Amino acid sequence: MPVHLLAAVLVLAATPIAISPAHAGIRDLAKSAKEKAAKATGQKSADHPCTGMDAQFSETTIELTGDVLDKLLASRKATQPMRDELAKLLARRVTIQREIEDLRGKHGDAIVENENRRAEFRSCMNSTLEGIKQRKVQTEMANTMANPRSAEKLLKLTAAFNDAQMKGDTAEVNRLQREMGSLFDATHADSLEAEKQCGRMPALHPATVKVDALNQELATIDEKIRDLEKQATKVQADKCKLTKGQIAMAWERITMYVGKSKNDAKPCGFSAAELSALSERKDALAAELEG
Amino acid sequence: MLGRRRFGQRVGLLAACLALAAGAPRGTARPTLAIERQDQWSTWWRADHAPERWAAAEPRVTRALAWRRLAGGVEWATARLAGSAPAWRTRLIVVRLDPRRVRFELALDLADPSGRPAWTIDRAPPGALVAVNAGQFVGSMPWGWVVMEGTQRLRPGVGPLSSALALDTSGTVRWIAGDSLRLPANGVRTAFQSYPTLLRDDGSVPNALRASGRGVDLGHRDGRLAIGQDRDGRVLLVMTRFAALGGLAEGLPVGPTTPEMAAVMGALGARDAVMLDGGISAQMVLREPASGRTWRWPGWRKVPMALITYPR
Repeated sequence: MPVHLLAAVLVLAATPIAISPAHAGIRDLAKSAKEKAAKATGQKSADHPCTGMDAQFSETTIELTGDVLDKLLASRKATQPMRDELAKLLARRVTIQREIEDLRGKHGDAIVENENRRAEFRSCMNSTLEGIKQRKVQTEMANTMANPRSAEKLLKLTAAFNDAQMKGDTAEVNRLQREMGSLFDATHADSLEAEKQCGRMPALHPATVKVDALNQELATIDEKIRDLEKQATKVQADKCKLTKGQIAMAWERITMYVGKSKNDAKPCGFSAAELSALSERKDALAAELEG
Repeated sequence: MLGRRRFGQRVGLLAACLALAAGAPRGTARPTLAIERQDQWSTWWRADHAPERWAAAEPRVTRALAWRRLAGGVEWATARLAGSAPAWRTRLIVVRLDPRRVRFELALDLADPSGRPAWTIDRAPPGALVAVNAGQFVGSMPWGWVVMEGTQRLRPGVGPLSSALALDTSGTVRWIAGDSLRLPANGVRTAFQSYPTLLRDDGSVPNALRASGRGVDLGHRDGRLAIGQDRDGRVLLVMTRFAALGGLAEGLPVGPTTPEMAAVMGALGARDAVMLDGGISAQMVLREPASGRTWRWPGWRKVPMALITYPR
């Protein structure tokens, strides 16, 4: 390595740990030295060594020794029955999605038209029932005020409502609102009267019924898949005697290693022992990630 | 040759002097976070003086962000953070979205026929303004509650440090923290859960993030992705990228600890925030509709679910 390149690398290695934020201008100096060095040698940034990127192990990030990797691989094998079941569910999932797409493709326009007609019906019913309710309110108010006892009851209810609002007692406000509103809620007779104007709710399009049923099945399958994966994770954790977090982080790092190796790039953030152990099991690990 | 050697000696000596003069972080030092603004760094958070509650945004952090408009209701900014080793330098990418002006949809994306997670930013729809991986996952399926287009697709998960986000068609965002499971039954169009919660109850940092031994590894450093909401109702998406070595190793999963990420969200003015899947899963794309220009931060692996933002 040319001396000035070595010096530039030294600067780079020293800079991140050495400079305080207040001395950030030094970063530019280091960058400039690095750029000069790279330019002089025609080196591309992708070839940059993992200077200063030593593996950092913690409670979650454990060292991927040969023993750990073998345990991880073996524990994955132990989940094979679950994975077989998973494959069946995933295959059914794909079929359902295709069926839904087919139905939407064939009946898309009819489904939209049906949904629009149902929305029109709902809108008609809402406005008609609101009209009926308003008429009821006016009639009931007139009757109530004509009767001193019921007028007193209504005034008490109104006072209690105002009091609850002043106190910010949301639960009481909601309760009183329900009590007062219930006096004028739509009855079955009101609904029948509204239907005379609006007609009957159009039935769901048969394709919508099928799509809804398929979506329901899909949701059930997705839950089953999740449960199976949860079981598989537990089996792996028990078998490896590692925590779920450690296993997840180990596979994250393995994924990074395999990804980098595929691109012939130097994986950073691994110890020498890890690189050796990973290299020896590269194919098995890649197959496990693909499988 | 002599000239080269002298140059090398000079630079090497300079590096050594700088290391001594600047004072390298010592093993006993408590973690800190500093932010760069106009080539000046200011330390705005210290682990040993970490606030239990973020009552307001931290001006030293917000002033360092120069917001750029992406589309109506969407702005974004970047900043550089300095932290403790090995996360000496972290690039912060912050996206601010007005939920009344944009629409959020979830995409559940599994490969056909393997069923393995298939989503990457390359699969973001052409009309998307922002697309980012959402929630957490273990195998093929996202963890926890998932509601798509008003239909519950996956039932809620249970965990004291989980948070659920529920969005309705008007742009109202509701946060449901922990195990309360008082999930809104009606009016929810899009919802998902994630963990760990970073901020709740108007900016409070959960107890489990304030002291070790409460189920969260407080020292683990990773590339991070979080979602939050500020006091003006704007949704914040915040991603970190390792930025030491001049950005050569951006994809490396190194970054803030969980308490540090809670501080970042609090300093940005969030009152609620939760982590999304970080590390090698974290990925985000921004698309400016006016110019068609995109900004991409790819991840290392495919994920099952994404949060996609569209114009309303």
